Amino acid sequence: MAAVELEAVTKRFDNFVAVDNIDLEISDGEFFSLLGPSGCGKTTTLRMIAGFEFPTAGRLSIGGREIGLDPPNKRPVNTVFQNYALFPHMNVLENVMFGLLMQKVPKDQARDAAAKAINSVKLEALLNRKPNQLSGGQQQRVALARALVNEPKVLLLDEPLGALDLKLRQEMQSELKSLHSEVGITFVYVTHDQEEALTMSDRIGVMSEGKLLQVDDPTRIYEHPAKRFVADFIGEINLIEGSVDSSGTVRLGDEVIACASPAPSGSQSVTIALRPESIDLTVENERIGGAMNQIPGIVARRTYFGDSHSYDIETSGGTLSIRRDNRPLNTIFDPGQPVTVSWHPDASNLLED
Amino acid sequence: MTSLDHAAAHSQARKGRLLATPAGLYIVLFFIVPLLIILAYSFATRTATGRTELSGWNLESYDKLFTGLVMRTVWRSFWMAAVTTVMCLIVAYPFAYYLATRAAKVRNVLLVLVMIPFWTNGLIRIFAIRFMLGSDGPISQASESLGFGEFRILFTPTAVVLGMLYSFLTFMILPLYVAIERMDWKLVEAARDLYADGFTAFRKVTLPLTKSGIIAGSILVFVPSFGSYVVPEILGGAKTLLLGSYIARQFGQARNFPFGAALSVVLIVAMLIAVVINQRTEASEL
Repeated sequence: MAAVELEAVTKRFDNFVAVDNIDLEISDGEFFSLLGPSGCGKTTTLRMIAGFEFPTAGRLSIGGREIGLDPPNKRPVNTVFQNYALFPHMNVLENVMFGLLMQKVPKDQARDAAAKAINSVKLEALLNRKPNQLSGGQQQRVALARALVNEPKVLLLDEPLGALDLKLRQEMQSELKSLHSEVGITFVYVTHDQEEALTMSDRIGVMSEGKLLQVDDPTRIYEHPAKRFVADFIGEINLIEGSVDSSGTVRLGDEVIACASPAPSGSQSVTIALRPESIDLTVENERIGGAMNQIPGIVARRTYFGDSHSYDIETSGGTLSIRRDNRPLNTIFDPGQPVTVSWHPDASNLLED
Repeated sequence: MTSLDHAAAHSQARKGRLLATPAGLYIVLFFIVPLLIILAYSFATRTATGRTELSGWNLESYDKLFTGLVMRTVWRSFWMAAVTTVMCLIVAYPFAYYLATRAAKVRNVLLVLVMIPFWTNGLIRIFAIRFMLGSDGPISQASESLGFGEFRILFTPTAVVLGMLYSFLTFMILPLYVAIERMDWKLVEAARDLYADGFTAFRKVTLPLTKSGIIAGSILVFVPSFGSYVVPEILGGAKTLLLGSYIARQFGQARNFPFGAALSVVLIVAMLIAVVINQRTEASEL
C-alpha cells in the first residue's frame, strides 16, 4: 500500500506555480528523497504532505486515506525541520514529550516513551538541557527523537543535515539510514545534496521548476537519467549533440555509436549523456574487445586531482571530459597525444530535454 | 596586547566618552541632580508654616508613610495600575499579533496609525476622552436616546482606567509587536506538527516565546499608571485619589515637601526593585 500518494497535485502562490501537476506514489517503509535545486518545489511538496500548505488542485492521501484539508495536527506524519525548530523554552525531555502529551498520552507513560526515544539517539545524559546548550548534531538528534517518538506513519525530513559540517553530516547520514531500517517508518527526505540522496535513498524523485522529472532508484537516476536536467544536476556528465539518420543510426561527429536505447523515431539530433568515469582511454588504434563504442581523439588537456586524472579529449563530435582513477600502472596520456576513446553502449544515454 | 593595540583601544574609548558627553550631561543635570534633591528633601524638616528647612535631617516623613490614608492610596493606585496593565495586554496582544503577521507594507501603515495619536498633546487627548465619557458626550446621548438613561462613568475609577488604557496602550503594543515579529514561526509549525491544535500551539509556544514582550510592555504600562497624575486628575473623581495626585498635593496645597519627597522616593525604589527582579529572572532563564 502506498504510504503517501499524490495525484495531479498543483500548488500555486498567486501567479507562481511552486508545484506543477505532480503524480507520486511512495511505498510503505520506503526511504524516498526529493532532490532538486532550491526553489524547485521539493519543500513545498513536503509542506503539503505535512499540512502546512494545501494543494491548489489534486488529491493527496496518506496511508490510503485522502487527507485533503486536514490540519497538520490531524495527520499521521511528523517533521524534522531544517533548523530543527526545537522549542527553546523547553528542555530535551519536554521537547520530546510534547507530541505525546498533545495526543493525551498520560504523563508518566509519555515520560517513559520520551526517555526511550532519547536513549535511542544516545542523548540520555542531556535530558534536562535546553536546546541552546546543545551542539548542532545533538539538536539534530533531539529533533529526530521528538518526531519518531510519536511513531508516525511517515517521517518528513526537510534538509535535516544542511546545517551540520561535512564530517558530522556523513556520520548522520549513516545513522539516519540505520535508524530507518530499525523503525520501519516511511521516510520522505528533502535535499539539494545529490550525494545525500544517492547514498541513503531507496528511490529518488528529481524536481525542477515545480515538475517531477524522474522517479527511480539511485542507480538508474545516476546511470540512466531520462532528462537533460536530471543528468546535468547529478554528478558530472558530458552532454553532447549527436545526429540521427533515417535508419535510426546515431552518430557522434563522424563515428557511428551504439547507445543504451534506440533514438526516438523521427528525430534528427539527440543529446548523448556520458559520465566521465565510464569512458576508457587507450593508445591510438589499440583494439578493445566486446561491443564497445570506439572513437579516435586527441588529448587537449590533463588535470591532476590526486585520486584521479581528468582529461579533455577532442573528438570529431566535440570535447569529451574523461576521468581515470590514479592507479600505479595506469598509462598517463600527454596533451597532443592521439588516443582511442571507448565506452560500453549502456553508458551512453539519449536524453529528452 | 601590544602597546599599539592599547593606544588604539584607548583612543577608541576616549572617542566613545566624547560622543556620550552631551547625553550624559543632560541626564546628570535634569535627572540625577533632581532625584538627589528629592532624596535630600525627604529627610528635611517641615516647619509649622509649611516651609522646608534643609537642616535637622530626620526620618519623620518616612514614618508617616505607614498611615491608613497613605496605605489605601498606594493600594488603590497599585490595583488600578494592575487593572490597566491587564486591560492593555488583552487589547494590545491580538492587535500586535495581527500587526506582526501582516506583509511589510500593511504593517508600516498600521504602525504609523498607532503612532498618530501621539502627535497630539496628551492633555488634549485626555480632555477628549472626558468629553466622550461626559453626560453631554456622544456615548451618553446615544444611551439616552436608546432609552438606557444617562451614562454615568466620568469621575469613576472605570473612567480613570479607560483613560490610562488609552494613554499607555502604545507602550504595550510596541514591545509585543517586536517580540511576536521576531519569533520563529517554524516553532508554531512544529507544535502543530506535533498534534497541537491552533489554540494549544499559541498557549504552549507563542505565548511563552513572547514573554519578554509581555513583561516589557507590562512594565512600560504599569510604571506610569502607578504614578499617573494627569489622567486621574481629569477623569477621576474625589473618590479616586491616586498616588500621583497625592504626591502632587504635598507639593501644592499641603505644602509638605519632605513628605511628598519621601513618597516619591519610595515609589521610585519600589519600581526599581520590581524592574531589577524581573531582569534577574529573565537573565537566569536564558
